[in-house]
Amino acid sequence: MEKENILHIFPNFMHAKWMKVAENSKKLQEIRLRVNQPIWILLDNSEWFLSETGQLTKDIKQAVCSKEKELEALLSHICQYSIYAFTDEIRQGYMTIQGGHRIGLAGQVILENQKEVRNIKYIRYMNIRVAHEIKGVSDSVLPFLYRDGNVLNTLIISPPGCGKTTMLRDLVRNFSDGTEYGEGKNVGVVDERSEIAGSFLGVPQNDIGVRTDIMDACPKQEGMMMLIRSMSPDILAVDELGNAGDIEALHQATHCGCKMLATIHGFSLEDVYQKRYMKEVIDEQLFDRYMILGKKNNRCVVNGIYDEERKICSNWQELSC
Amino acid sequence: MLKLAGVIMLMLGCVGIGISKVNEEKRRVRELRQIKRIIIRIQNEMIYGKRTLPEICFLLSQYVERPYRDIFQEIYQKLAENRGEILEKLWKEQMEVGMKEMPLKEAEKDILCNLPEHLGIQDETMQAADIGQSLDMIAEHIRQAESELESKAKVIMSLSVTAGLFISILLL
Repeated sequence: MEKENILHIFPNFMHAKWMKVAENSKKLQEIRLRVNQPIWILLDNSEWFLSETGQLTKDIKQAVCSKEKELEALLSHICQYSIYAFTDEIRQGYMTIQGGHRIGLAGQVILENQKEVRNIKYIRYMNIRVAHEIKGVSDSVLPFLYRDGNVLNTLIISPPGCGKTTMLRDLVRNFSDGTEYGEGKNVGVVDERSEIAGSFLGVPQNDIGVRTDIMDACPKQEGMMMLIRSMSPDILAVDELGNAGDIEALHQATHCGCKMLATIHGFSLEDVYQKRYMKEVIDEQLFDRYMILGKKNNRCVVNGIYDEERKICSNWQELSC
Repeated sequence: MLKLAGVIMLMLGCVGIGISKVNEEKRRVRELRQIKRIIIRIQNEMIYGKRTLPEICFLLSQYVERPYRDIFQEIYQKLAENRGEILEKLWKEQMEVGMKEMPLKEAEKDILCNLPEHLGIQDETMQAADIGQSLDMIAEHIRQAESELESKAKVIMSLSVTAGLFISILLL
């Protein structure tokens, strides 16, 4: 990733301050800005602070704090000076910007009818999650995800920060473009949080393949059914299954003949089996493959790929991704 | 004969100056109406299109007449390059350069130049309403300019003819 890609997140007058961070763009994972608190940076899984001179430091005493005005200017810049056009995103608490980076927002919530979030004002906490598209990350697992040239229903299980979305994105690209194990398929992606394609103004910022259609910023349940009706995909991809509605839509999609590619939070297959709604899905053998991601020596690895009977696939060996 | 020709030429010159002054006033009204159309379009794109300002600049660069077309084109291009340009500053700079030669008063130019100062409201309806204040101001300036035009045109023409006659008499 180019350093300009990171610098452009910030308005001109902040560029000097963020130059050093931008130079480390390849290792940069996260930037956290909190009003009157030190600027926190996660670089290659290591915690740093930003100093007054724009240097990276481990010493919190040298760290510079985020100022209210700076946060306002940054938000305004991120929203292209058109905050009114991003009300829906702000209401949800996050937005995706050019480059596919995701900005999490927190502040004072304005409620409507005492329960629904209408907006967030005084946005004083920002979390910039830097998107890292790693092409080819899924190449080594592909042989396990095809049977007779057809893609198998696959569930990616991973704890946070182990590359679940990165793996999903690369699988979408591979399934869409076609691989040596099977020809390219039409893939429908319900990108509820704009993390897979990283769409900005409707244009995907990541390579998600030539046969991929995206329903951006759409709830999974509605998005899956809309895509099935409108785009008749061969494969449906969704990130982070969570509630009963998602599972219901999953059933409907598989009944329509779509192959499913999904992710879920979890540490192991047993862990996911304990989750509400998921026991039924696993028992019914809705998925043919379960891919377990994890971390080893600070590196994301595929801990195992299991078949529909929850047995580890033959020829399996631990893969680093 | 020569004197008569001189008088006619002098009169024509003075009347010509008068006509150009009246045309300048007419152009001022036209420009104010154009600014009004631009602000209305911005407002509509905000409410109904929920478009961002760079997008609106692009649309306006296709829709409005010169010099605004070039101004909006320039703003859009600079913002599209995504070099961290601050819209408020960029907008003001481009507007000031582009509107320099226009027969408008400073206060009238400022309405469009300072438009981004009204930005930053999270609700699109409120944001559009806020921009509506600029619309009210421009409407007021148009009313003034139109009423001034009628009376001013007569005064300017009378003065130019009178000045022509006066200079002719002096020279004769």
